[in-house]
Amino acid sequence: MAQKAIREFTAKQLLYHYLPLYLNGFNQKYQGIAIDADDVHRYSLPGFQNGYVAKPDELFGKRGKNNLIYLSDNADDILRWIRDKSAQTVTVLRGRGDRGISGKLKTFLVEPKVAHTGEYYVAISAKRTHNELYLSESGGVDVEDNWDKVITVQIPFSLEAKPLSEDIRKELWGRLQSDNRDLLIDFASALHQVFSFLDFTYLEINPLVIEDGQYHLLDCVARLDDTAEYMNETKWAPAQVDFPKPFGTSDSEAERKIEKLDAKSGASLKLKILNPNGSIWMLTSGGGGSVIFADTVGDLGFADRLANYGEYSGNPTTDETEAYADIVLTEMAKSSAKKKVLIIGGGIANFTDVKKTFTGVISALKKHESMLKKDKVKIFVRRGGPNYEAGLSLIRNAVTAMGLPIEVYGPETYMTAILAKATQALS
Amino acid sequence: MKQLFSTDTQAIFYNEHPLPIQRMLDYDWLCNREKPSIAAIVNPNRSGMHKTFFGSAEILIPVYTTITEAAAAHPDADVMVSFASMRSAYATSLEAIMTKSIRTVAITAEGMPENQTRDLIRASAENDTWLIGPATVGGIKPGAFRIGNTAGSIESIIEARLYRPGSVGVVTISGGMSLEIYHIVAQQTDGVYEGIAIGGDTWPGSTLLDNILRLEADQGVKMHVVLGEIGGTAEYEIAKALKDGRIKKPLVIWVTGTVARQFATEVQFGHAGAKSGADDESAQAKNKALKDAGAYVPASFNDLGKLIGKVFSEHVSAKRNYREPADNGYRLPPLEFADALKQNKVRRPTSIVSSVSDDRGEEPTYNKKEISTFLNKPFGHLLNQLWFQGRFQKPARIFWNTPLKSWPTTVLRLQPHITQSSLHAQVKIWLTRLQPGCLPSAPDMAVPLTGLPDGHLNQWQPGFPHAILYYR
Repeated sequence: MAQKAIREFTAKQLLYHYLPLYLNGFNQKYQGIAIDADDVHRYSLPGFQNGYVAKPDELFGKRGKNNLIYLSDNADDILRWIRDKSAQTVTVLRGRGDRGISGKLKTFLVEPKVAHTGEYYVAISAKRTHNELYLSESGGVDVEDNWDKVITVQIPFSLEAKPLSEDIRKELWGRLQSDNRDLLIDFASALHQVFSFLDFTYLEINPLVIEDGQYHLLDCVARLDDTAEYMNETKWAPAQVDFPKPFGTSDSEAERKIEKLDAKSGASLKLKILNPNGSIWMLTSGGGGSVIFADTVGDLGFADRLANYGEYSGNPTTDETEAYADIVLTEMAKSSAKKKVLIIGGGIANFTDVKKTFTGVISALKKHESMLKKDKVKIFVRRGGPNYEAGLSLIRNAVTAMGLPIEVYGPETYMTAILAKATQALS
Repeated sequence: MKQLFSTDTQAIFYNEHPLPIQRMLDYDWLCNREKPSIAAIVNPNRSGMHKTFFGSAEILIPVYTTITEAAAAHPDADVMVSFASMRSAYATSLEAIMTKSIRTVAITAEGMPENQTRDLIRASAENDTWLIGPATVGGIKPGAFRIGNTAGSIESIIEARLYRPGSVGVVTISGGMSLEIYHIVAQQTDGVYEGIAIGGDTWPGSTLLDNILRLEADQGVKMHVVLGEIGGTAEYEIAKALKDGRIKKPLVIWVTGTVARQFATEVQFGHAGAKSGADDESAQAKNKALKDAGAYVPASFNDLGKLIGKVFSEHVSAKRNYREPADNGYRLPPLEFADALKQNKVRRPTSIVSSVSDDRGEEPTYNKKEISTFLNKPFGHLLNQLWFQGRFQKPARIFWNTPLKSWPTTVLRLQPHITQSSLHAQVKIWLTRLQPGCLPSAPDMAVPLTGLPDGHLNQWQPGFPHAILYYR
């Protein structure tokens, strides 16, 4: 539903397949090999004349600085390195001041080593009315430190995959200095055509190496617009495009269950467990509203006790809501927090039927009655929208009948007011 | 800058969706509009008339197959409200943008490819057309015009006093949160002057700032209320406009998504544009930049309502020339019959009495059984209820199913020369013969009734569709 990062391997497969269409003299085959770390013992690498480069392919950059690029002339060495690295938990720093992200590496990329002298930087980024092209003759790992040397030009947006205009080519030619500037401009022009043609939203080649008139794309970061997937099935086919999750995303079983539920449903169902032993559990609705509920818990100073972020919206059925609430409550039961509150919150819905969705929530609450009683869970409700009066009275009566404390509010009460009450109950 | 909507604005509605069409017309009625806000409907699959209600009167709205035709017949309709699907939204919106008489296009479709939206943005700039959306519920100009489903039910519109204009311009990203904000604004101020939800995509057709500047130029707007979101840099443009004096009216804003700091990895929230990750796109950074630029920014969403009230009373209602907007009341559109029936507010004598079928309740019944119960059952089940009031047991029902299903093939076997159309004609004739009384008096026993328990043969009686067995 948005701009999504793809693996370097995927991006390069697309680029090596499509660049020959637009770039004279570019006719190399892509030689990279994607390696699944779980299966590393089953790979045997082809012989590369100048040796191998291995690196993780998990959507994060700065691999050199994180010591995650390995060079060797020996194929067994390369595979051993991958086996060792994938067995460890590694911490990756993604920038200055980053607290880092840890996880196990699962996907690697092995490519032929290219001996080279100069490194170039080429990147294209989609903006609202134009594409921005970045070019630098001082590419490589330190491009950010040399950002003043990067030339930026704006290319007016067009649905067609157009090459660079004469004006832009002239401007670039005037601003670049190296002997390879014609080749570099040709490359940028062709890259821009591929960028437009395949619905890229971001593409960065760093470094790009030009040796003896041959281009080598050493490293590449790319994002595609996944909403264009339905029209690009054929165009993206050379790479079998998928959108992996960012490195370090460890999904709990509950999150995976909700993801499956979401995929099957026409409505939107999301869950992210922040703290499995948290005190504040949320059954919030609405894409915008649910974020505000989570925000406000943080603003009240209870961020560390917030257990989950989640949302159900787009008028889910009673059954879907029940299944969703059931999964959240199951996780809530596992939490070791001494005091627990449940927030059933939402804004004033345009068309989600409150009675219908609350009927599902109530069935799940009944299923978890013993847990709610044992943990003395306090429930806070705030919701508006179609049939809200019926929905609110249903949930009030059902929970009261279970002998549990509940506070119920409608649209006349400020949306996040229940959070102040809930956090008071905790302290 | 021009106003998008007035009490005379008429729209061309793309795609024949009866519910949002009726909701727009009910809103027109509620705020005393003289003529309906929809002049024409475009349905690529048919032309003709669409029957709907304006108040209690049934009216016909012309339906065309293309936007060009509709616009030519209704040159005064300068808005297109598009309920096109995600796949057809691009081509149809582009056609609307290219149509001279259409000045505003509101797109509800979710999940449009970004390059298609960017091309619409390019085309709309070249043709001076205003875009709202995609991926939004739309917007509302109280007392004048409502886009599609904006602001929900009539009750919530009345509660948020959206039937008459106030003096606060509201711009949000989220369509889902827009009604909540209109509600807060109605509680804290004299009400909403115009509310626009720009939609959560990466490249909305008109940005937060585009809409704020349009409302800034509108005499009716005395202050702005804006709800931004984590991700993107649109809010920095607002900060810039505050600094360089393009926005002079007081502006209250809150950027949601401060919680993203709790997430270690990048998180995609509910909207495509709402992505955590880059530091300068964080909610905290944007809230701070806006505050530094002179916007009124609360400490938390919790305080947003109070802050709106404070800014309104200090900077709007305290002004000497301030006048409370007129409230001429509203007229409630009549209840839908089904809703009224549910609430026990109406009753209606029947015009035709049938001992078999009955459509007085929420759902029509056949022999006191809701017709939906027949949907997934074999046809013999329905036949049993309609002709025999459910007297037959399962084996008999199953028996009828067999000939009913195999009719056409049986006929083809017996009369190989028959054509498709004459087969249909024959089946039709048989169906009319299935009336009790005009059937052969005895079954053709040449057809072996194997599989049917003996006892069931005792149930032959007048009215049994002998023809089925006869032709079997």
